[in-house]
Amino acid sequence: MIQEAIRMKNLIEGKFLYKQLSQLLIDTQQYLFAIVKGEPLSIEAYQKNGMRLYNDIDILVSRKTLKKLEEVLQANGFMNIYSNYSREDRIFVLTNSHQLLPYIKNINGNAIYIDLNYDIFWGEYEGKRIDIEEFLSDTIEMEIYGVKVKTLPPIKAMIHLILHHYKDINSLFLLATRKSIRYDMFKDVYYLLKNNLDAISLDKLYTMSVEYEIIPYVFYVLYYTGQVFDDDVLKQYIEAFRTPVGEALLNSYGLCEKERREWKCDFKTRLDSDHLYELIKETLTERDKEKIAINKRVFLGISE
Amino acid sequence: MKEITKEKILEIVNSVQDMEVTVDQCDNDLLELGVDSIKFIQIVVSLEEAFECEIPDEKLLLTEMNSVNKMLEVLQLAVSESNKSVLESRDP
Repeated sequence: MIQEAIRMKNLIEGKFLYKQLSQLLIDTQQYLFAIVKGEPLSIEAYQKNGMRLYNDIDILVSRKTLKKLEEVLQANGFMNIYSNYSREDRIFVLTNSHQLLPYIKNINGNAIYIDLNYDIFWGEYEGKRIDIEEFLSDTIEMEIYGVKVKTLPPIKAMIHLILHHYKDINSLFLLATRKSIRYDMFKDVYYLLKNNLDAISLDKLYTMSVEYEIIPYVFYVLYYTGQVFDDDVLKQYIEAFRTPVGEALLNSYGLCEKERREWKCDFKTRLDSDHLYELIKETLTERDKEKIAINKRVFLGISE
Repeated sequence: MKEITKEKILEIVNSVQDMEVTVDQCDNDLLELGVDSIKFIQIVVSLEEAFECEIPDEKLLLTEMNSVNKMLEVLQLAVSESNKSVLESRDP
């Protein structure tokens, strides 16, 4: 009953959001991009609308197309969330994050947020980056609340989701400021896989992960999904992706070697915790704290 | 537009706290020479100010500018892009 009530609320908010987006989507037709997470993921993972809570629209676009899309957003009445956003802030965001500061538009007292994502890795990533233009080369069209949108096919939605979750679970800034390890993250991964076993076959996912050089991160997220969902098919995937490098990541956090620290508590404690910062604060260096403070100022508008 | 030289880039990199990169290390990975994400931002901001240009979004990554020589290439590209857009804007 409660779940159905939440879904009804999500449906009402989703309809409003997509109705407002229809003109923007027409104006951006010529550009290569995809709407990710949110409603498209609800449909791909749960096969129906309204199954995921979201309060923004995430768009994945290449860095080369970023400025053009920003111009279209501005022409459609969207503004950067902070008016005093400096060139230095933009450089910080583009070098340290996968997304720009949100764009916002107020309609009848309701705020619509759009996040422009230009990477599926994190800023600190030192390996081979995935070419976003190539990644977006086979987007699919989906109708959401009567609006046609471009999104990722299930296998790329899975790759995107896995890297997104790995980043959330390991980012010092996110661990310090929000509950970035949540049950619903693993639920999305589990149902996206279970409801798309042909499109995300073990063979296809493995081949693509080898190509993108992300085997350890896929293992990491699948492993913890397996800690939440006991499932024989999932276990096959986990074992296929198991490597010493992936195993070495399991009990640590931090997005690069310099920032990597060891967890002092088990996974269940992390998953249940509403105050992840309390679990990591003893291990943070002054440099870590400085970087978290810059992130807070730029992304959250909080100066300490 | 100011002239982009390796010497000036080195001067800017070495103006950041604890950085000491020599002329012989222009191809070396700056990460290994002590640059972290915060120092990188300080360097990029100073480079843009010094050479009066804007580095394109797709190059604003430590992996794209992780050596002095790569910085030189990116800055030359940024300046040439900037010149091209100035010419295009003048084109009737």
